Amino acid sequence: MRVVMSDGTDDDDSLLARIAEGEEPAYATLVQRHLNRVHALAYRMLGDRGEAEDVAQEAFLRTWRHAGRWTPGKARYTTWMHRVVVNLCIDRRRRRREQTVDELPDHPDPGPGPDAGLLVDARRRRVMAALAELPERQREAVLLSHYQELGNIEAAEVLGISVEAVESLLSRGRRALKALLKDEIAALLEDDQ
Amino acid sequence: MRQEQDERVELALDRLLDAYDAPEPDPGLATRIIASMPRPGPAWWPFGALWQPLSGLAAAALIGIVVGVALPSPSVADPDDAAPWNVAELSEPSL
Repeated sequence: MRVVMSDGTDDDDSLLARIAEGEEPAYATLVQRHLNRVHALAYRMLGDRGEAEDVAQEAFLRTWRHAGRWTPGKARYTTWMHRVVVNLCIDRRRRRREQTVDELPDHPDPGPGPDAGLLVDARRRRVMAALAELPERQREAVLLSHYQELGNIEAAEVLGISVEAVESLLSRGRRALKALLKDEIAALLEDDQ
Repeated sequence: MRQEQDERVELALDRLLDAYDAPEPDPGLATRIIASMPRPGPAWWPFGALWQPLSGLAAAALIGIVVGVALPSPSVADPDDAAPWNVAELSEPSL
């Protein structure tokens, strides 16, 4: 059944059905709709803009190839897409670990340029560093829940674990972040008073 | 009181996490992704990408040429062997 969104475009299932027929405009609509979220997740998992773009490209290519086998109503496209992106990023991180230290990039991607305020930039770097210190699964749970705004059920499907396991990862991840960012949190609370 | 403090800390953590914004993707990325999409074959060819059967044919032709050149040519048969049997002669009853 064709479902039309509020902006006049088809919903994801309808777009995938059209993509399976080889319709390029449907593919373009799907890419435009999800690219920012896909790229943001890959960026936060990898900390590198170029690699995030490569992951986004590969993930959408897989969408194109997979569209013919898509069963409407069985799963949400966003869940499937998040899973693809998480797995692609895990593969890349694994490959990075196998590289020698000499081959690794000297500095992580700095993100927004010098326009950003110094305080905001410093805070951003602290958060980025704190997230990087979390164990991989806790970081993935926090990224999916906080930034991608997935519910626990959907995050559990993406990570291939139970909802209880997601809740546990989130709880431990946030507790660890509060400890790592305690000075910044104290400063924020002080500013509020 | 304690619960209220915990909630404020949770909210502060959320605000801090929000500070880690992801950059917008390159403006040309969507165009590149769409352009890199594998294109189907021409309309008169309903079986998908045309390069697949064409490369199959080319590979088969190449293998045929290599095998044809590499194998030794069949030896010229002995003239006696090559001579057709004279069936009439063979079938003549001996006296």
